[in-house]
Amino acid sequence: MRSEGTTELQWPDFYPENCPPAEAKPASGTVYRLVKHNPPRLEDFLSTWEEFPGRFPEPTIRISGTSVHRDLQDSERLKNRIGHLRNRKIAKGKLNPTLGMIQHTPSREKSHHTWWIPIGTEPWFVFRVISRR
Amino acid sequence: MLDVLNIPELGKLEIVEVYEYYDQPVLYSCKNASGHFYLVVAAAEDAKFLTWLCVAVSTERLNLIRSGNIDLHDAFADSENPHAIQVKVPYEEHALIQTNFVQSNQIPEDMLPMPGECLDLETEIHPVLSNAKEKEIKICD
Repeated sequence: MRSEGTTELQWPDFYPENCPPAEAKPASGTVYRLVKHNPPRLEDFLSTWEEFPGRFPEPTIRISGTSVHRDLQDSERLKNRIGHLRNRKIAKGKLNPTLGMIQHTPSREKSHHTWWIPIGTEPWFVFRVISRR
Repeated sequence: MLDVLNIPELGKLEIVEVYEYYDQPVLYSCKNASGHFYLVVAAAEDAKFLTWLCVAVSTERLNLIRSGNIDLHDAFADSENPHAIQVKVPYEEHALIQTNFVQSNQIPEDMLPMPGECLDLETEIHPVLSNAKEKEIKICD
């Protein structure tokens, strides 16, 4: 378990070295997350490494994080393209520095960010589902 | 990379380009040791499995998909080879991955990208693909 700077965030043991990366900034602002549950819960914020135990040879920085968008339209667009996300709901949340670190990691969706969530936090409480599908 | 790339029927697969990323690559091209290309998409999820679809693509067709001349829906539903491979990856750690062949034109619509959804990448396919590994590394670490 490692701590992060003066904020003393505690990171999961499985995080690789230099995760979150130096380029990441304290979490802040509004983001959108595609979730399975309403209201959102823990399972909606697992990293891929946690969601698929034993399926990857090692945790990388990216799969240790959780994807979010800054732009609602990017979440909607992705649902249209990716069947496995089609039935997910869009949850809106407002982040603050106690909820971890975030980095702009644009994919085809320009507002894609990777968010690293410290242990001992319950980020689902700051998210609210804004679309049924 | 997720076990979806461990498909015995296809040999060892390596990601060439990631087109969509959400928690992990969810739409990408890959190729096997003999140089055959495949297009892969995360197609469905339930309580037990994340299901992927994988179709073989020629470089010419991949070029057309990358440029948006073939939409993502038809890339899977109207593939060159009439079969797609469905790969079901369990969430449970030691459960076996299930693969089976499905008729491309019988893939349920809700597993496919919606009609009209396109990529719009530059299409100099050979130079792009030769540099693609470097691009993928940037995206995925």
